[in-house]
Amino acid sequence: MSTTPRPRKDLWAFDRADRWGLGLLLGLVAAVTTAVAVVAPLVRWAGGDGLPLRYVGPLAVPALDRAGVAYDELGAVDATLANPSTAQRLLDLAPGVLATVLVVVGCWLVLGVLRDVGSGDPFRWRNVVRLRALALLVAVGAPVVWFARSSVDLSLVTSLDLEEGVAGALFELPWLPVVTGMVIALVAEAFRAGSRLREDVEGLV
Amino acid sequence: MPVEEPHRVVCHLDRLLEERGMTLAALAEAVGVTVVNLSVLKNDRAKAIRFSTLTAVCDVLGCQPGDLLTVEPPI
Repeated sequence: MSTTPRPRKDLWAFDRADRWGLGLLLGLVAAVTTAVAVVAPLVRWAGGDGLPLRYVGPLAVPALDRAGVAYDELGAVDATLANPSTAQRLLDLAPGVLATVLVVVGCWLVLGVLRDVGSGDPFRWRNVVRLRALALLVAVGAPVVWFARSSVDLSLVTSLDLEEGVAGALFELPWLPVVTGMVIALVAEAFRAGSRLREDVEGLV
Repeated sequence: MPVEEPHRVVCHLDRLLEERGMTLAALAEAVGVTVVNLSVLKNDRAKAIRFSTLTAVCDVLGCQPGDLLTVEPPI
């Protein structure tokens, strides 16, 4: 008795289950980002709670300086602004809203590419545009959000009028999103070549 | 020099067919490609043609590639 050999499953294939999984994960990322960066601050605002602050950067502690005690100049401040003004609330909310918009738009762009990959027709010009937009979002948007967050945190922490002073902002270029954005731009370029090949094949007689 | 679109290649398939009293469907049948594909070629919507298709079309019509395709001068 002969049996038909079953086709071997390609474990590297990005199949329907993987696409669904990634889609759900992206939806979850967008939902959690919205909840943490926008909804939670709004709930705190509505409840009249204080503004939790976290600042990591250069610190100056005059009391320790006077005592001649050496300390690590890079430190963290965890505090709560008890009665923040509306302007401070809005200032604190702004980077979160910006980050949420970027994350939601980014997820939406990836979902668009995912749909075309699923339909077996990924090399379309619209996917080149999507990937280029995603590259820009990651390479430029993420550092902008990072700088906005750092600046707002510094501004709010300095408003605490601490005896031990915050010396200044810690501005470092976040390299990871920049490199990731460049890699996505490279993938977009590969898709551009693919879309040209597709167009050629479409008009081939 | 990079290849820029659009191209200026013009197909004279309709004239060749008319001269030979042949229909597009008959040519498609003889060449072994679909009428849709030959229609794309005839209406200058093709972006490329396989040498095998060109050979077959020229064989059936008894012509040379230069009779079928010409390049218009730039405007």
